[in-house]
Amino acid sequence: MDAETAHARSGPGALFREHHLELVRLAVLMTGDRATAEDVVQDAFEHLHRHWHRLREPGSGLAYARTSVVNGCRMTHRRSAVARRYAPRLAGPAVTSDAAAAMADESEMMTALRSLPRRQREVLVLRYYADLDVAEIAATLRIGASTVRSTMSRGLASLARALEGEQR
Amino acid sequence: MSNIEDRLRAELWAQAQRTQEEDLRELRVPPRPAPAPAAARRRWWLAPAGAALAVTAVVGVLVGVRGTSGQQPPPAAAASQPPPFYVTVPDTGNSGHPDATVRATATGATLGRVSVPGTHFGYVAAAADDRTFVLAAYRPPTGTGGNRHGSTEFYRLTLSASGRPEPLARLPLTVQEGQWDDEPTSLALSADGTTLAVAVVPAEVAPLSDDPTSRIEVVSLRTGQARTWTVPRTDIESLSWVRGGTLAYLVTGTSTGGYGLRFLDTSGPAGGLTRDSRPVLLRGVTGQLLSALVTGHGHVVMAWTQAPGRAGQVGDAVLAEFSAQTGRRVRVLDTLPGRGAFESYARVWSADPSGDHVLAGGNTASGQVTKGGIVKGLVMRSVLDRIDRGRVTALPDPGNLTLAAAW
Repeated sequence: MDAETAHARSGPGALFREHHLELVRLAVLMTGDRATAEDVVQDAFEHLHRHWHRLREPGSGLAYARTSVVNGCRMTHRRSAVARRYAPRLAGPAVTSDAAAAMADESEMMTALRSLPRRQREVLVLRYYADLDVAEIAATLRIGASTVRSTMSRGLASLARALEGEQR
Repeated sequence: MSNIEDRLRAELWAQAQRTQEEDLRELRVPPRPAPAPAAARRRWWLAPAGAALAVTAVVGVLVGVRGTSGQQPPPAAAASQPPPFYVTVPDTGNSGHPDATVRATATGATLGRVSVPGTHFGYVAAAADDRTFVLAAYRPPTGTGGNRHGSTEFYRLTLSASGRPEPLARLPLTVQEGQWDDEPTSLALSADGTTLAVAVVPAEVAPLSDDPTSRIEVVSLRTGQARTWTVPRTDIESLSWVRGGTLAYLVTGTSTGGYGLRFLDTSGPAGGLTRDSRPVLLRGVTGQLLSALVTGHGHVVMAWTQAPGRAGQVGDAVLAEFSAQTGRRVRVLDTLPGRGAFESYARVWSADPSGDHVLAGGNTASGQVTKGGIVKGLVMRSVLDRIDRGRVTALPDPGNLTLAAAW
């Protein structure tokens, strides 16, 4: 029995036990903050629990979990943006001390990655960290394969330009 | 592979290694399926609501609805005796066996099973005659691509006098998942079996720029005509017909507060759900209302509530009877013990027309409670009870978690 079939039979608990770390790391790369990433994955876990019996096909749990994590990360970015816009005096920087320390220690590459538009960043992280192919990225982000390819190409070009600018 | 790709891959890998297994908090295990904890639900409501509805009432396409046009309302079952049959829908995950089961109340014997190929049943509702039921069946999407969506179909189940199920008849209503994975969360069939109410809630966690809505559809099964009451994304459960055109529903999560039981007047034109409904106060409820059903011709509310427990843990889930007129709690009928932070899944499923006989149940958990309320080695056990004028009797083991039950 392969792992996906085993997950389909054993439920979301087994899937998350096996992929918890991988999903948190994915969310950390998307959000830059481990505490936020853990919250996002916890929410995705609960969401999948509620909808496990309605998964579209056996073995699709991990893909569904990834999509939920990516969506959760988007919401986090939005919440931070809204907080900054409407409560600048109260909210302060929308990062935790954990995240601030991590960002201070960040490489040029990661700084450049975080400066990319959201979809470019998502596609690049899913391709070069999660090692998903174009079809899997398309399914995760619910966009077309051609959009994935063009977004990936633009993202890499933007990264290259940003890094060249840093070195000048 | 280009240099930039190599560098990016290496950098992402190095960044990811900063997070290690031992750094992570343990995941808290919710019941399956169950509403998300209140904190998680409230986060949804940060989303300004907004997507166009993608649900379709297929008006005029009456597919195989038998015996409805011109039909007289079925006679109600005798109030003094419990309904002779009940229908359950078990949770089978992805492992198959998507049957609904018809059982005899007196003996628990299985009288028949029904299924629709390619679908999973999720909900069932009963008319007053205990022979007419409606089942909701989720059909996963077919084909490939990133924008696939499934749908929920509705079927009429008719039982013979001996409880034998006749072939299912497709009803003129389909709920499309659409971009927000809209899903039914509750059904209520009118006493005469001719009007179906369906609550539909967007299940997908939505980007904040969009505006999904929840709604209640009231559909005539004679004509297929549907009317829709909408509200910005709100969790709606526990539909039950009260009397006349009044429909009770329970709000368990909303962007604007207003949790609790509400009565919707469906006699007028469709419109805003909040505008056309009024709250029903239940006194002495501490904590969360998990499920509620209005019975006894609108005089009684049966509700599961769950009070907060010690820090990080939940309290017991308590099934109690309330007066719909005064909101006062009349008596406690059943209890499901809380376990750690495990959130109980408890439902009042169905009542006969008199309100004397109620189907209710939920799940209990066992396992070791560790720091933070996490339950290690979690094992869930499903419970299905009949409650006859306050007397609780366990019905035969429903096996897996019961998703729905009706009589």
